[in-house]
Amino acid sequence: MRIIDFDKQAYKKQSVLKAIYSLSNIYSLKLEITDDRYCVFLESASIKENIISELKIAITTRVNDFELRYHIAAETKEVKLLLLAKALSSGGIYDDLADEIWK
Amino acid sequence: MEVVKRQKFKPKEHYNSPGYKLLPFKYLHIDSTNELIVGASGDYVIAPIGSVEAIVKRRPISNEKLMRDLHAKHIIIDEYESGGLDVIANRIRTKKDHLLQLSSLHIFVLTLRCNHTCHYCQVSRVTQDKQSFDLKKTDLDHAIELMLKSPSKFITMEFQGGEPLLAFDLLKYAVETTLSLNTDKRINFVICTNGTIYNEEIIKFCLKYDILISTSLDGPEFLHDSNRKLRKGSSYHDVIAGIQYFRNALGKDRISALMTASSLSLKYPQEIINAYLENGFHNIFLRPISPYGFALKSPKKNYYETQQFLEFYEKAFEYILQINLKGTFFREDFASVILKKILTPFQSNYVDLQSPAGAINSVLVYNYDGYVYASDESRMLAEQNDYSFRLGHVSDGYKKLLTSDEALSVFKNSLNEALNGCSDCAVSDFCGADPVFHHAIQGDAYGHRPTSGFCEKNMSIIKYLIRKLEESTSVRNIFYEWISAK
Repeated sequence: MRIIDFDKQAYKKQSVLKAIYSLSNIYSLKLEITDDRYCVFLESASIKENIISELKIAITTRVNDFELRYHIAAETKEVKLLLLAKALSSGGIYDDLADEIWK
Repeated sequence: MEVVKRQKFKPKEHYNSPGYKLLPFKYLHIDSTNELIVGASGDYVIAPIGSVEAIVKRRPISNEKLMRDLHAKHIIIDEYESGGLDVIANRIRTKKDHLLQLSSLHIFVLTLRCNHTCHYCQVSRVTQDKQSFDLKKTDLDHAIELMLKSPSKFITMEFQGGEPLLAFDLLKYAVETTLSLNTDKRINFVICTNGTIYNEEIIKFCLKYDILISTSLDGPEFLHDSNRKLRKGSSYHDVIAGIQYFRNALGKDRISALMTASSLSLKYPQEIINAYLENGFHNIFLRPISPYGFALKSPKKNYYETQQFLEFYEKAFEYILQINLKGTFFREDFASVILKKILTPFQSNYVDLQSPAGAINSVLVYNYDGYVYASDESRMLAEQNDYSFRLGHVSDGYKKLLTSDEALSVFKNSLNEALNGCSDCAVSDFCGADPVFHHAIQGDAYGHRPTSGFCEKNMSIIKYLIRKLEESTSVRNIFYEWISAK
Protein backbone atom coordinates (compact mmCIF):
# COMPACT_ATOMS: atom_id res chain seq x y z
CA MET A 1 0.00 0.00 0.00
CA ARG A 2 1.31 3.44 -0.94
CA ILE A 3 -0.15 6.65 0.44
CA ILE A 4 0.10 10.00 -1.30
CA ASP A 5 -0.67 12.84 1.03
CA PHE A 6 -1.86 16.27 -0.13
CA ASP A 7 -2.18 19.41 1.94
CA LYS A 8 -5.65 20.86 1.37
CA GLN A 9 -4.28 24.38 1.56
CA ALA A 10 -1.93 23.73 -1.33
CA TYR A 11 -4.27 22.02 -3.76
CA LYS A 12 -7.78 22.81 -4.91
CA LYS A 13 -10.25 20.03 -4.20
CA GLN A 14 -11.55 19.99 -7.78
CA SER A 15 -8.04 19.54 -9.15
CA VAL A 16 -7.26 16.71 -6.77
CA LEU A 17 -10.46 14.89 -7.59
CA LYS A 18 -9.98 15.26 -11.35
CA ALA A 19 -6.40 14.03 -11.22
CA ILE A 20 -7.33 11.13 -9.01
CA TYR A 21 -10.18 10.23 -11.35
CA SER A 22 -7.69 10.18 -14.25
CA LEU A 23 -5.25 8.11 -12.29
CA SER A 24 -7.93 5.62 -11.31
CA ASN A 25 -7.98 4.47 -14.93
CA ILE A 26 -4.43 3.29 -14.49
CA TYR A 27 -4.14 2.32 -10.82
CA SER A 28 -6.45 0.89 -8.24
CA LEU A 29 -6.85 3.50 -5.54
CA LYS A 30 -9.13 5.06 -2.93
CA LEU A 31 -9.39 8.53 -1.49
CA GLU A 32 -9.90 9.69 2.08
CA ILE A 33 -10.56 13.31 2.97
CA THR A 34 -9.79 14.66 6.42
CA ASP A 35 -10.08 18.21 7.74
CA ASP A 36 -6.82 19.38 6.30
CA ARG A 37 -5.56 16.65 3.98
CA TYR A 38 -6.42 14.45 1.02
CA CYS A 39 -4.96 10.96 1.26
CA VAL A 40 -4.79 8.75 -1.78
CA PHE A 41 -4.26 5.06 -1.08
CA LEU A 42 -2.70 3.12 -3.92
CA GLU A 43 -2.89 -0.65 -3.73
CA SER A 44 0.36 -1.15 -5.56
CA ALA A 45 3.24 -0.46 -3.21
CA SER A 46 5.65 -0.55 -6.11
CA ILE A 47 4.24 2.53 -7.82
CA LYS A 48 7.15 4.53 -9.09
CA GLU A 49 8.14 7.82 -7.54
CA ASN A 50 7.86 9.53 -10.91
CA ILE A 51 4.16 8.70 -11.22
CA ILE A 52 3.53 10.36 -7.88
CA SER A 53 5.56 13.36 -8.93
CA GLU A 54 3.65 13.44 -12.22
CA LEU A 55 0.37 13.38 -10.36
CA LYS A 56 1.44 16.29 -8.19
CA ILE A 57 2.49 18.28 -11.24
CA ALA A 58 -0.81 17.45 -12.95
CA ILE A 59 -2.71 18.74 -9.95
CA THR A 60 -0.67 21.92 -9.77
CA THR A 61 -0.69 22.88 -13.41
CA ARG A 62 -2.53 21.02 -16.05
CA VAL A 63 -5.04 18.58 -14.73
CA ASN A 64 -7.36 18.92 -17.72
CA ASP A 65 -4.75 17.51 -20.06
CA PHE A 66 -3.61 14.73 -17.77
CA GLU A 67 -5.77 11.97 -19.21
CA LEU A 68 -5.18 12.96 -22.84
CA ARG A 69 -1.42 12.96 -22.34
CA TYR A 70 -1.52 9.50 -20.84
CA HIS A 71 -3.61 8.33 -23.77
CA ILE A 72 -1.02 9.61 -26.29
CA ALA A 73 1.82 8.11 -24.26
CA ALA A 74 0.10 4.71 -24.08
CA GLU A 75 -0.80 4.61 -27.78
CA THR A 76 2.64 5.65 -29.00
CA LYS A 77 4.77 3.82 -26.44
CA GLU A 78 5.94 1.10 -28.84
CA VAL A 79 6.76 3.54 -31.63
CA LYS A 80 8.68 5.66 -29.17
CA LEU A 81 10.76 2.67 -28.13
CA LEU A 82 11.27 1.75 -31.76
CA LEU A 83 12.42 5.27 -32.58
CA LEU A 84 14.82 5.22 -29.68
CA ALA A 85 16.21 1.88 -30.79
CA LYS A 86 16.56 3.17 -34.34
CA ALA A 87 18.16 6.41 -33.19
CA LEU A 88 20.70 4.48 -31.16
CA SER A 89 21.18 1.92 -33.88
CA SER A 90 24.41 1.67 -35.74
CA GLY A 91 23.96 -1.99 -36.57
CA GLY A 92 24.00 -5.05 -34.37
CA ILE A 93 22.06 -5.33 -31.15
CA TYR A 94 19.88 -2.25 -31.59
CA ASP A 95 18.68 -3.38 -35.02
CA ASP A 96 17.50 -6.58 -33.41
CA LEU A 97 15.79 -4.60 -30.71
CA ALA A 98 14.08 -2.43 -33.32
CA ASP A 99 12.81 -5.51 -35.18
CA GLU A 100 11.60 -7.03 -31.94
CA ILE A 101 9.61 -3.95 -30.95
CA TRP A 102 8.05 -3.52 -34.38
CA LYS A 103 6.76 -7.10 -34.59
CA MET B 1 5.32 -23.66 -54.43
CA GLU B 2 3.18 -20.93 -52.93
CA VAL B 3 2.90 -17.75 -54.94
CA VAL B 4 2.67 -14.59 -52.88
CA LYS B 5 0.59 -11.91 -54.53
CA ARG B 6 1.86 -8.41 -54.06
CA GLN B 7 -0.74 -5.70 -53.59
CA LYS B 8 -0.25 -2.63 -55.71
CA PHE B 9 -2.92 -0.69 -53.89
CA LYS B 10 -3.81 -0.28 -50.25
CA PRO B 11 -6.80 -2.36 -49.07
CA LYS B 12 -10.29 -0.91 -49.49
CA GLU B 13 -10.76 -0.45 -45.75
CA HIS B 14 -7.90 1.99 -45.77
CA TYR B 15 -10.01 4.55 -47.59
CA ASN B 16 -13.04 4.09 -45.33
CA SER B 17 -11.33 4.46 -41.96
CA PRO B 18 -9.83 7.57 -40.34
CA GLY B 19 -6.70 5.93 -41.68
CA TYR B 20 -3.93 7.08 -39.39
CA LYS B 21 -1.92 6.08 -36.37
CA LEU B 22 -0.44 8.40 -33.82
CA LEU B 23 3.29 8.89 -33.68
CA PRO B 24 4.79 10.10 -30.38
CA PHE B 25 4.02 13.78 -29.96
CA LYS B 26 3.53 16.38 -27.26
CA TYR B 27 1.38 19.48 -27.09
CA LEU B 28 0.55 22.59 -25.11
CA HIS B 29 -1.74 25.59 -25.41
CA ILE B 30 0.38 28.37 -26.83
CA ASP B 31 -2.28 31.10 -26.46
CA SER B 32 -6.02 31.29 -25.88
CA THR B 33 -6.94 29.91 -29.30
CA ASN B 34 -4.05 27.74 -30.51
CA GLU B 35 -2.10 24.70 -29.43
CA LEU B 36 1.42 23.75 -30.32
CA ILE B 37 1.91 20.15 -31.42
CA VAL B 38 5.51 18.88 -31.56
CA GLY B 39 6.44 15.55 -33.09
CA ALA B 40 9.27 13.26 -32.04
CA SER B 41 11.37 14.73 -34.85
CA GLY B 42 11.11 18.19 -33.26
CA ASP B 43 8.92 19.51 -36.11
CA TYR B 44 5.91 21.47 -34.96
CA VAL B 45 2.41 22.45 -36.04
CA ILE B 46 0.22 25.25 -34.68
CA ALA B 47 -3.45 24.21 -34.66
CA PRO B 48 -6.72 25.42 -33.13
CA ILE B 49 -7.29 24.27 -29.55
CA GLY B 50 -9.15 20.97 -29.61
CA SER B 51 -7.21 19.55 -32.57
CA VAL B 52 -5.17 17.20 -30.36
CA GLU B 53 -8.27 15.81 -28.69
CA ALA B 54 -9.89 15.31 -32.10
CA ILE B 55 -6.83 13.45 -33.43
CA VAL B 56 -6.46 11.26 -30.37
CA LYS B 57 -10.16 10.39 -30.31
CA ARG B 58 -10.20 9.94 -34.10
CA ARG B 59 -12.90 12.53 -34.65
CA PRO B 60 -13.17 13.77 -38.23
CA ILE B 61 -10.91 16.72 -39.06
CA SER B 62 -12.17 18.77 -41.99
CA ASN B 63 -9.12 21.02 -42.22
CA GLU B 64 -7.14 19.34 -45.02
CA LYS B 65 -4.12 21.58 -44.61
CA LEU B 66 -3.87 20.65 -40.95
CA MET B 67 -4.04 16.95 -41.83
CA ARG B 68 -1.31 17.37 -44.45
CA ASP B 69 0.84 19.27 -41.94
CA LEU B 70 0.36 16.59 -39.29
CA HIS B 71 1.56 13.97 -41.77
CA ALA B 72 4.45 16.09 -43.02
CA LYS B 73 5.65 16.93 -39.52
CA HIS B 74 5.60 13.26 -38.46
CA ILE B 75 2.81 13.62 -35.91
CA ILE B 76 0.48 11.08 -37.50
CA ILE B 77 1.20 8.35 -39.99
CA ASP B 78 -0.93 6.36 -42.44
CA GLU B 79 -2.45 3.31 -40.81
CA TYR B 80 -0.72 0.90 -43.16
CA GLU B 81 2.64 2.61 -43.31
CA SER B 82 5.73 2.16 -41.23
CA GLY B 83 7.97 4.35 -43.38
CA GLY B 84 9.18 7.70 -42.12
CA LEU B 85 10.37 6.31 -38.82
CA ASP B 86 13.93 6.09 -40.06
CA VAL B 87 13.81 9.79 -40.89
CA ILE B 88 12.63 10.67 -37.36
CA ALA B 89 15.21 8.34 -35.82
CA ASN B 90 17.93 10.09 -37.80
CA ARG B 91 16.69 13.46 -36.59
CA ILE B 92 16.86 12.25 -32.98
CA ARG B 93 20.38 10.96 -33.59
CA THR B 94 21.47 14.30 -35.06
CA LYS B 95 19.93 16.23 -32.17
CA LYS B 96 21.94 14.18 -29.69
CA ASP B 97 25.11 14.17 -31.75
CA HIS B 98 26.87 16.50 -29.30
CA LEU B 99 27.04 13.61 -26.84
CA LEU B 100 29.82 12.13 -28.93
CA GLN B 101 31.85 15.22 -28.01
CA LEU B 102 31.68 14.69 -24.23
CA SER B 103 33.13 17.59 -22.19
CA SER B 104 34.36 19.81 -24.97
CA LEU B 105 34.44 23.00 -22.86
CA HIS B 106 37.13 23.08 -20.17
CA ILE B 107 37.06 26.07 -17.83
CA PHE B 108 40.24 26.90 -15.92
CA VAL B 109 39.73 29.21 -12.95
CA LEU B 110 43.31 30.46 -12.77
CA THR B 111 42.73 32.85 -9.88
CA LEU B 112 40.04 34.39 -7.72
CA ARG B 113 41.93 37.70 -7.65
CA CYS B 114 40.11 40.58 -9.32
CA ASN B 115 40.41 44.33 -9.65
CA HIS B 116 36.60 44.72 -9.71
CA THR B 117 34.04 44.33 -6.95
CA CYS B 118 30.86 43.73 -8.95
CA HIS B 119 27.88 43.34 -6.63
CA TYR B 120 26.41 40.47 -8.63
CA CYS B 121 29.67 38.56 -9.10
CA GLN B 122 28.83 34.88 -8.81
CA VAL B 123 32.22 33.99 -7.46
CA SER B 124 33.81 35.07 -4.24
CA ARG B 125 36.49 37.45 -5.44
CA VAL B 126 39.52 38.49 -3.44
CA THR B 127 41.78 41.50 -3.75
CA GLN B 128 44.58 41.55 -6.29
CA ASP B 129 47.50 40.74 -4.02
CA LYS B 130 46.38 37.46 -2.45
CA GLN B 131 48.24 34.94 -4.59
CA SER B 132 47.14 32.06 -2.42
CA PHE B 133 43.96 32.20 -4.49
CA ASP B 134 45.85 31.19 -7.66
CA LEU B 135 45.74 27.70 -9.15
CA LYS B 136 48.93 25.82 -8.25
CA LYS B 137 51.14 24.77 -11.17
CA THR B 138 51.04 21.11 -10.15
CA ASP B 139 47.24 21.23 -10.11
CA LEU B 140 47.24 23.01 -13.47
CA ASP B 141 49.39 20.22 -14.93
CA HIS B 142 46.91 17.60 -13.69
CA ALA B 143 44.00 19.62 -15.08
CA ILE B 144 45.61 19.88 -18.52
CA GLU B 145 46.25 16.15 -18.48
CA LEU B 146 42.56 15.55 -17.66
CA MET B 147 41.41 17.89 -20.42
CA LEU B 148 43.56 16.11 -22.99
CA LYS B 149 42.07 12.77 -21.94
CA SER B 150 38.58 14.01 -22.79
CA PRO B 151 37.07 12.01 -25.69
CA SER B 152 36.24 15.19 -27.59
CA LYS B 153 38.42 15.98 -30.60
CA PHE B 154 37.41 19.64 -30.49
CA ILE B 155 38.18 21.42 -27.26
CA THR B 156 37.69 24.92 -25.96
CA MET B 157 40.07 25.87 -23.16
CA GLU B 158 38.53 28.86 -21.38
CA PHE B 159 40.33 30.93 -18.76
CA GLN B 160 38.20 32.49 -16.06
CA GLY B 161 38.61 34.07 -12.65
CA GLY B 162 38.52 36.35 -10.79
CA GLU B 163 40.39 38.12 -13.51
CA PRO B 164 42.59 35.56 -15.31
CA LEU B 165 44.88 38.24 -16.78
CA LEU B 166 46.04 39.04 -13.23
CA ALA B 167 47.65 35.58 -13.42
CA PHE B 168 49.05 36.10 -16.91
CA ASP B 169 52.22 34.04 -16.29
CA LEU B 170 50.08 31.10 -15.28
CA LEU B 171 47.86 31.60 -18.33
CA LYS B 172 50.90 31.60 -20.63
CA TYR B 173 52.18 28.44 -18.98
CA ALA B 174 48.76 26.77 -19.40
CA VAL B 175 48.50 27.53 -23.14
CA GLU B 176 52.07 26.53 -23.96
CA THR B 177 52.01 23.37 -21.85
CA THR B 178 48.72 22.32 -23.47
CA LEU B 179 50.07 22.82 -26.97
CA SER B 180 53.28 20.96 -26.18
CA LEU B 181 51.34 17.92 -24.86
CA ASN B 182 48.51 17.88 -27.39
CA THR B 183 48.76 15.29 -30.12
CA ASP B 184 45.33 14.92 -31.71
CA LYS B 185 42.91 17.62 -30.62
CA ARG B 186 41.88 20.91 -32.13
CA ILE B 187 41.99 23.45 -29.32
CA ASN B 188 40.48 26.94 -29.16
CA PHE B 189 41.56 29.33 -26.42
CA VAL B 190 39.27 31.92 -24.81
CA ILE B 191 40.14 34.46 -22.12
CA CYS B 192 37.14 35.73 -20.12
CA THR B 193 38.36 39.09 -18.89
CA ASN B 194 36.77 42.23 -17.50
CA GLY B 195 38.59 44.02 -20.33
CA THR B 196 40.48 46.48 -18.16
CA ILE B 197 43.85 44.70 -18.08
CA TYR B 198 45.85 44.73 -21.29
CA ASN B 199 49.32 45.51 -22.59
CA GLU B 200 51.55 44.74 -25.54
CA GLU B 201 52.77 41.45 -24.08
CA ILE B 202 49.20 40.17 -23.66
CA ILE B 203 48.29 41.24 -27.21
CA LYS B 204 51.35 39.55 -28.73
CA PHE B 205 50.53 36.35 -26.88
CA CYS B 206 46.87 36.42 -28.00
CA LEU B 207 47.95 36.99 -31.60
CA LYS B 208 50.52 34.18 -31.48
CA TYR B 209 48.01 31.59 -30.24
CA ASP B 210 44.88 32.95 -31.93
CA ILE B 211 43.14 33.56 -28.59
CA LEU B 212 39.59 34.90 -28.40
CA ILE B 213 38.64 37.55 -25.86
CA SER B 214 35.30 37.53 -24.05
CA THR B 215 34.51 40.55 -21.91
CA SER B 216 31.63 42.10 -19.98
CA LEU B 217 29.60 45.14 -20.98
CA ASP B 218 26.43 45.78 -19.03
CA GLY B 219 25.12 48.75 -20.99
CA PRO B 220 25.62 52.52 -20.91
CA GLU B 221 28.15 54.12 -18.57
CA PHE B 222 25.83 54.85 -15.61
CA LEU B 223 24.52 51.28 -15.62
CA HIS B 224 27.80 49.48 -16.28
CA ASP B 225 29.57 51.46 -13.55
CA SER B 226 26.74 50.86 -11.12
CA ASN B 227 26.97 47.08 -11.66
CA ARG B 228 30.71 46.72 -12.13
CA LYS B 229 32.80 48.62 -9.63
CA LEU B 230 36.46 49.40 -10.05
CA ARG B 231 38.35 50.47 -6.93
CA LYS B 232 39.25 53.74 -8.63
CA GLY B 233 37.76 55.34 -11.73
CA SER B 234 35.17 54.16 -14.22
CA SER B 235 35.07 50.53 -15.31
CA TYR B 236 33.09 51.61 -18.39
CA HIS B 237 35.84 53.94 -19.62
CA ASP B 238 38.48 51.27 -19.10
CA VAL B 239 36.53 48.45 -20.73
CA ILE B 240 35.56 50.52 -23.79
CA ALA B 241 39.22 51.49 -24.20
CA GLY B 242 40.15 47.82 -23.71
CA ILE B 243 37.64 46.62 -26.32
CA GLN B 244 39.08 49.14 -28.80
CA TYR B 245 42.65 48.12 -27.97
CA PHE B 246 41.91 44.39 -28.44
CA ARG B 247 39.93 45.05 -31.64
CA ASN B 248 42.69 47.13 -33.20
CA ALA B 249 45.30 44.50 -32.41
CA LEU B 250 43.42 41.22 -32.85
CA GLY B 251 40.60 42.05 -35.28
CA LYS B 252 37.01 43.07 -34.68
CA ASP B 253 35.60 39.55 -34.60
CA ARG B 254 38.09 38.35 -31.98
CA ILE B 255 36.35 40.06 -29.05
CA SER B 256 32.82 39.51 -27.78
CA ALA B 257 30.89 40.86 -24.81
CA LEU B 258 28.35 39.53 -22.33
CA MET B 259 25.84 41.48 -20.26
CA THR B 260 24.30 40.57 -16.93
CA ALA B 261 20.96 42.06 -15.95
CA SER B 262 20.88 43.47 -12.42
CA SER B 263 17.67 44.86 -10.90
CA LEU B 264 18.65 48.28 -12.21
CA SER B 265 19.26 46.92 -15.74
CA LEU B 266 15.62 45.82 -16.01
CA LYS B 267 14.58 49.47 -16.32
CA TYR B 268 16.80 50.15 -19.33
CA PRO B 269 16.33 47.56 -22.10
CA GLN B 270 16.69 50.01 -25.01
CA GLU B 271 19.61 51.88 -23.46
CA ILE B 272 21.53 48.61 -23.05
CA ILE B 273 21.01 47.66 -26.68
CA ASN B 274 21.96 51.16 -27.84
CA ALA B 275 25.20 50.90 -25.85
CA TYR B 276 26.05 47.66 -27.67
CA LEU B 277 25.25 49.20 -31.06
CA GLU B 278 27.23 52.37 -30.31
CA ASN B 279 30.24 50.29 -29.35
CA GLY B 280 30.20 48.33 -32.60
CA PHE B 281 28.64 45.03 -31.48
CA HIS B 282 26.22 43.11 -33.70
CA ASN B 283 24.85 40.84 -31.02
CA ILE B 284 23.86 40.72 -27.36
CA PHE B 285 23.10 37.91 -24.90
CA LEU B 286 20.27 39.07 -22.61
CA ARG B 287 21.28 37.19 -19.48
CA PRO B 288 19.69 37.18 -16.02
CA ILE B 289 21.77 37.04 -12.86
CA SER B 290 22.68 33.54 -11.71
CA PRO B 291 21.17 33.30 -8.23
CA TYR B 292 24.33 31.93 -6.64
CA GLY B 293 27.30 33.01 -4.59
CA PHE B 294 28.00 36.67 -3.99
CA ALA B 295 24.86 37.66 -5.89
CA LEU B 296 22.76 36.58 -2.91
CA LYS B 297 24.57 39.01 -0.62
CA SER B 298 23.00 42.06 -2.27
CA PRO B 299 19.38 41.03 -2.82
CA LYS B 300 18.14 44.58 -3.37
CA LYS B 301 20.48 45.04 -6.31
CA ASN B 302 20.34 41.51 -7.64
CA TYR B 303 17.08 39.77 -6.80
CA TYR B 304 14.07 39.94 -9.08
CA GLU B 305 11.22 37.64 -10.05
CA THR B 306 11.50 35.64 -13.28
CA GLN B 307 8.44 37.49 -14.56
CA GLN B 308 10.26 40.82 -14.20
CA PHE B 309 13.16 39.49 -16.27
CA LEU B 310 10.72 38.20 -18.90
CA GLU B 311 9.11 41.63 -19.23
CA PHE B 312 12.57 43.14 -19.68
CA TYR B 313 13.50 40.45 -22.21
CA GLU B 314 10.38 41.01 -24.28
CA LYS B 315 10.81 44.80 -24.37
CA ALA B 316 14.46 44.43 -25.38
CA PHE B 317 13.62 41.78 -27.96
CA GLU B 318 10.89 43.86 -29.62
CA TYR B 319 13.38 46.73 -29.86
CA ILE B 320 15.98 44.40 -31.41
CA LEU B 321 13.43 43.23 -33.97
CA GLN B 322 12.68 46.85 -34.92
CA ILE B 323 16.40 47.46 -35.46
CA ASN B 324 16.62 44.41 -37.71
CA LEU B 325 13.43 45.31 -39.60
CA LYS B 326 15.03 48.69 -40.39
CA GLY B 327 17.93 46.86 -42.04
CA THR B 328 20.62 46.59 -39.34
CA PHE B 329 21.76 43.09 -38.41
CA PHE B 330 21.69 42.75 -34.61
CA ARG B 331 21.19 39.36 -32.99
CA GLU B 332 19.92 38.24 -29.58
CA ASP B 333 22.06 35.23 -28.74
CA PHE B 334 19.80 33.36 -26.30
CA ALA B 335 16.97 33.46 -28.85
CA SER B 336 19.41 32.21 -31.50
CA VAL B 337 20.28 29.18 -29.36
CA ILE B 338 16.59 28.28 -29.10
CA LEU B 339 15.78 29.11 -32.73
CA LYS B 340 18.56 26.81 -33.91
CA LYS B 341 16.90 24.00 -31.95
CA ILE B 342 13.47 24.85 -33.39
CA LEU B 343 14.44 25.46 -37.00
CA THR B 344 17.26 22.96 -37.58
CA PRO B 345 18.03 19.37 -36.54
CA PHE B 346 21.17 20.62 -34.81
CA GLN B 347 22.00 21.60 -31.24
CA SER B 348 23.83 24.69 -30.13
CA ASN B 349 27.09 24.57 -28.17
CA TYR B 350 25.47 26.63 -25.41
CA VAL B 351 25.91 24.41 -22.33
CA ASP B 352 23.09 25.81 -20.18
CA LEU B 353 20.29 24.58 -22.43
CA GLN B 354 21.02 20.97 -23.25
CA SER B 355 19.59 17.54 -22.50
CA PRO B 356 21.47 15.71 -21.08
CA ALA B 357 22.42 18.83 -19.12
CA GLY B 358 25.63 20.59 -20.11
CA ALA B 359 27.16 20.03 -16.66
CA ILE B 360 29.90 17.40 -17.10
CA ASN B 361 28.42 16.27 -20.43
CA SER B 362 29.68 19.40 -22.14
CA VAL B 363 31.76 21.23 -19.55
CA LEU B 364 34.24 20.61 -16.75
CA VAL B 365 35.59 23.29 -14.42
CA TYR B 366 39.05 23.18 -12.83
CA ASN B 367 38.89 25.53 -9.87
CA TYR B 368 41.74 27.58 -8.38
CA ASP B 369 41.74 25.23 -5.36
CA GLY B 370 42.56 22.19 -7.49
CA TYR B 371 39.07 20.69 -7.38
CA VAL B 372 36.99 19.72 -10.40
CA TYR B 373 33.39 20.88 -10.68
CA ALA B 374 30.46 19.88 -12.88
CA SER B 375 29.86 23.42 -14.12
CA ASP B 376 30.65 27.06 -13.51
CA GLU B 377 27.56 27.35 -11.27
CA SER B 378 28.75 24.32 -9.27
CA ARG B 379 31.92 26.12 -8.21
CA MET B 380 29.83 29.16 -7.26
CA LEU B 381 27.83 26.95 -4.90
CA ALA B 382 31.10 25.72 -3.41
CA GLU B 383 31.90 29.31 -2.42
CA GLN B 384 28.82 29.02 -0.19
CA ASN B 385 30.20 25.74 1.25
CA ASP B 386 27.89 23.57 -0.85
CA TYR B 387 30.09 20.88 -2.42
CA SER B 388 27.29 18.80 -3.99
CA PHE B 389 28.80 19.07 -7.47
CA ARG B 390 32.49 18.86 -6.60
CA LEU B 391 33.56 15.76 -8.50
CA GLY B 392 36.94 15.39 -6.84
CA HIS B 393 40.51 16.64 -7.06
CA VAL B 394 42.41 17.11 -10.34
CA SER B 395 44.84 14.41 -9.18
CA ASP B 396 42.03 11.82 -8.90
CA GLY B 397 42.05 10.90 -12.59
CA TYR B 398 39.39 11.06 -15.28
CA LYS B 399 37.61 7.79 -14.54
CA LYS B 400 37.26 8.38 -10.81
CA LEU B 401 35.96 11.92 -11.32
CA LEU B 402 33.39 10.94 -13.91
CA THR B 403 32.05 8.01 -11.91
CA SER B 404 31.95 9.83 -8.57
CA ASP B 405 28.66 9.96 -6.64
CA GLU B 406 28.48 13.68 -7.39
CA ALA B 407 28.83 13.04 -11.14
CA LEU B 408 26.21 10.29 -11.05
CA SER B 409 23.82 12.63 -9.27
CA VAL B 410 24.20 15.09 -12.16
CA PHE B 411 23.68 12.38 -14.81
CA LYS B 412 20.62 11.01 -13.01
CA ASN B 413 18.84 14.34 -13.11
CA SER B 414 20.07 15.69 -16.40
CA LEU B 415 17.82 14.17 -19.04
CA ASN B 416 14.66 16.19 -19.61
CA GLU B 417 13.20 13.32 -21.62
CA ALA B 418 12.93 11.51 -18.27
CA LEU B 419 12.08 14.32 -15.84
CA ASN B 420 8.52 14.83 -14.70
CA GLY B 421 7.10 18.01 -16.05
CA CYS B 422 9.66 17.91 -18.89
CA SER B 423 9.04 14.45 -20.32
CA ASP B 424 5.65 15.39 -21.74
CA CYS B 425 6.31 19.10 -22.18
CA ALA B 426 5.83 20.13 -25.82
CA VAL B 427 8.85 22.44 -25.84
CA SER B 428 11.33 20.13 -24.09
CA ASP B 429 13.14 19.48 -27.40
CA PHE B 430 13.97 23.18 -27.52
CA CYS B 431 14.91 23.41 -23.84
CA GLY B 432 17.32 21.64 -21.50
CA ALA B 433 17.83 20.33 -17.99
CA ASP B 434 19.69 22.02 -15.15
CA PRO B 435 20.18 19.89 -12.02
CA VAL B 436 22.60 22.41 -10.51
CA PHE B 437 20.07 25.25 -10.74
CA HIS B 438 17.30 23.13 -9.23
CA HIS B 439 19.55 21.94 -6.44
CA ALA B 440 20.53 25.55 -5.65
CA ILE B 441 17.03 27.01 -5.81
CA GLN B 442 14.72 24.14 -4.87
CA GLY B 443 17.04 22.02 -2.78
CA ASP B 444 16.47 19.07 -5.13
CA ALA B 445 18.53 18.39 -8.27
CA TYR B 446 15.50 16.63 -9.81
CA GLY B 447 13.45 19.83 -9.56
CA HIS B 448 9.76 20.63 -9.48
CA ARG B 449 8.80 22.17 -12.81
CA PRO B 450 5.60 24.07 -11.92
CA THR B 451 7.53 26.21 -9.44
CA SER B 452 10.85 26.32 -11.30
CA GLY B 453 12.25 29.68 -12.47
CA PHE B 454 14.34 27.80 -15.06
CA CYS B 455 11.18 26.27 -16.52
CA GLU B 456 9.17 29.51 -16.33
CA LYS B 457 11.87 31.55 -18.09
CA ASN B 458 12.66 29.06 -20.83
CA MET B 459 9.08 28.02 -21.57
CA SER B 460 7.96 31.63 -21.79
CA ILE B 461 10.76 32.60 -24.16
CA ILE B 462 10.31 29.51 -26.33
CA LYS B 463 6.55 30.09 -26.61
CA TYR B 464 7.18 33.76 -27.35
CA LEU B 465 9.66 32.90 -30.13
CA ILE B 466 7.28 30.39 -31.69
CA ARG B 467 4.53 33.02 -31.73
CA LYS B 468 7.01 35.43 -33.35
CA LEU B 469 7.95 32.82 -35.96
CA GLU B 470 4.29 32.56 -36.94
CA GLU B 471 3.75 36.31 -36.86
CA SER B 472 5.32 37.39 -40.16
CA THR B 473 7.62 36.25 -42.93
CA SER B 474 9.98 39.17 -42.34
CA VAL B 475 10.52 38.19 -38.68
CA ARG B 476 11.00 34.57 -39.72
CA ASN B 477 13.63 35.70 -42.27
CA ILE B 478 15.46 37.66 -39.57
CA PHE B 479 15.54 34.53 -37.39
CA TYR B 480 16.98 32.47 -40.25
CA GLU B 481 19.64 35.14 -40.75
CA TRP B 482 20.56 34.97 -37.06
CA ILE B 483 21.03 31.23 -36.99
CA SER B 484 22.95 31.23 -40.27
CA ALA B 485 25.41 33.94 -39.20
CA LYS B 486 28.62 33.03 -37.41
